[in-house]
Amino acid sequence: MLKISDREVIEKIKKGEIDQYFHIVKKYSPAVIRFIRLKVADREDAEDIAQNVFFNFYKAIGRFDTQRPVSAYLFQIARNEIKMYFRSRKKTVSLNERIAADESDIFFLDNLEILLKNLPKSQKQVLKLFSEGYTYAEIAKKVGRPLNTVRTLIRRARLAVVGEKNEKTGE
Amino acid sequence: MLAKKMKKLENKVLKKVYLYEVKKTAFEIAARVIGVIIFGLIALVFGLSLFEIFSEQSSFDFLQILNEDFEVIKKFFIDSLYVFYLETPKLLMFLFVAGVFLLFLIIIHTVKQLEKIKNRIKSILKYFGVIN
Repeated sequence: MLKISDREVIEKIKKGEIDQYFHIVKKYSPAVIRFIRLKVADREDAEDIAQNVFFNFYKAIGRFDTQRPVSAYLFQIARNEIKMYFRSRKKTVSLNERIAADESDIFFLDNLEILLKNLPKSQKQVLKLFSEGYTYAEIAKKVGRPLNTVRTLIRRARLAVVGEKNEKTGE
Repeated sequence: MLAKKMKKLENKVLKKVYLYEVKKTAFEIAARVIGVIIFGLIALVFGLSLFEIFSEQSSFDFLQILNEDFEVIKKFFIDSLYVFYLETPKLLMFLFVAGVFLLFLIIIHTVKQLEKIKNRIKSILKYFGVIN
């Protein structure tokens, strides 16, 4: 099979030969998927992200500088897509939790402010961040404390809140 | 297995790309056609109105100066042109010129992009199996 360079392929795509995009997808999809899988464990999600990466690259191809390597551009898009994936996942998780919550969980969410009132400031701060969907690592970075300290603070805060909730509901 | 998955991904990406291109190309062609019709109509309507007004005012008579000797033309051409300018309905003329200008702009742009649009349509038809 005749090999053509990325530059030629992109020039052809810019001239309207859409079918040439097949070469780009075929050449870079294994590397892009490998790159995404390093950060996203779920295979289906990784494939969806890869799809978005190639689709977004195609949409931007008109502005693409053919002097630059295609891979750098693709990996940059992949990085952004991964960020967006984690951002949207955070939102979805908290929403699903709310939908799937039973009555006691709804009580907990509705009365979170009251339950947090009696907690020490450090525990209150980390638990609030945790309930907003931040990961332990992100919270540690935000509050400027070691990761294990954050873990301990969240565990203690949870236990305290659950204890108080049980007192209020009479369980 | 991995090769099969890759093929599946390639197909999915290409399908997405082609559907996007179908929409984009259809929108582009429709916009161009509508543009040509609208600006063509504007140019035609205002052009005809202008022609009618000029005919009523016998404004085209100034062209008769071209039948005169060169010396006469040289002496009176600018004056005749100025009179013609004064008789011209300015707003109508502006709309007519704008319509013609935009019409030509669309046509020139379309002619420039024709090869690209043709290739795109060919690729799309090939993908959907309409042509080989």
